[in-house]
Amino acid sequence: MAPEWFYLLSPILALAAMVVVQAVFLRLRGGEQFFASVMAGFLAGLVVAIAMQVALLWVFPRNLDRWVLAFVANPAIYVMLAYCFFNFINLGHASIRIRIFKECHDRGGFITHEELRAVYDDERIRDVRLKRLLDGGDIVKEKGRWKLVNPRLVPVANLVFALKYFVLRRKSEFEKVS
Amino acid sequence: MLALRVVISAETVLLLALSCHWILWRIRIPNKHINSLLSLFLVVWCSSVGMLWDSNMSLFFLGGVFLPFWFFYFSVLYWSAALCYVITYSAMEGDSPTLSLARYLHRKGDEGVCHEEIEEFFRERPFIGARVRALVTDRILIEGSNGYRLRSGKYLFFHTILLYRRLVFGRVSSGG
Repeated sequence: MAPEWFYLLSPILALAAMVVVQAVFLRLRGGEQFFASVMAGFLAGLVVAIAMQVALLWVFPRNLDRWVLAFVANPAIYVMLAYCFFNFINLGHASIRIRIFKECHDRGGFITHEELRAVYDDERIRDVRLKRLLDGGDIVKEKGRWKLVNPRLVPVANLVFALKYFVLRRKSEFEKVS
Repeated sequence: MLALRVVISAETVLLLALSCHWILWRIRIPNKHINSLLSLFLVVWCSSVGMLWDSNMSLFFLGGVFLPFWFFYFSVLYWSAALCYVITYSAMEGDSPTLSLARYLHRKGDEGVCHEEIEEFFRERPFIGARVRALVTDRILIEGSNGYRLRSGKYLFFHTILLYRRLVFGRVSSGG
């Protein structure tokens, strides 16, 4: 393998480290602490990316132009790949579409309206999402009223809604509401 | 410096693709969003590689010799950013129940909301119906009088996600 390919290999190895550490972390925690596992994986990958960058400068000191490209591009490539990976695993965690697909597939490729309603309805979605926010410390229920106590998701939500408006010219897929 | 030219070229081509996407979506939003978006990124990438290949200022040749290293870096930079956008787009295309709820509660401030208001919030947003409709529009499910039939296909992407879930979590439960 020509030495220059090690530069391109660096963010891929970093991603591999993230995948392994995230999976092992989650397995050891019995499937709990999903976001902590993602952070642990991301940090492990970052360490690998930095170590590779230092090693490449050490091993190939004459390939300075390639090292500069790797120095500028590799952190960005790693962060983007990590973002893609996070969203990939989050799809299995939270995507309603994936779950509906699975229910239909598990039943031999056909699901009746009743079966779909039995496994999925909007009340169930409501309860699961409320529990998720409650467990995550984002919301509390005080004197019968639900309150947001940790607004960490609000900037993300505002960004997503702003982007939706910019690209699709609507604030919500349910047109009447915002 | 060639290194910075590769980075700037990849980001310029990406901006060009995003501009085309924004303009095309203003004219008409396609039915199969993700496929259309991926096709657009592919067309822009092929066109830009063609132009960069031919031009006198080519990034990928030096003295008539092909430089695969620069070509691959250009492509990896472009495609990783493009995939990030496609993933973000798929997340923003439909409303996320969690993010919508967090935003709603934030607007209500310290006063908060009672459970009936939460119920009303979800009644106004039939997430399940919207996702089933999306699967029908994407030609994954076929709607019949009794229910939904899965269109024949390999669905590698869905199966890969579910396989990952089984490997890491050991189970895939139902729920939202």
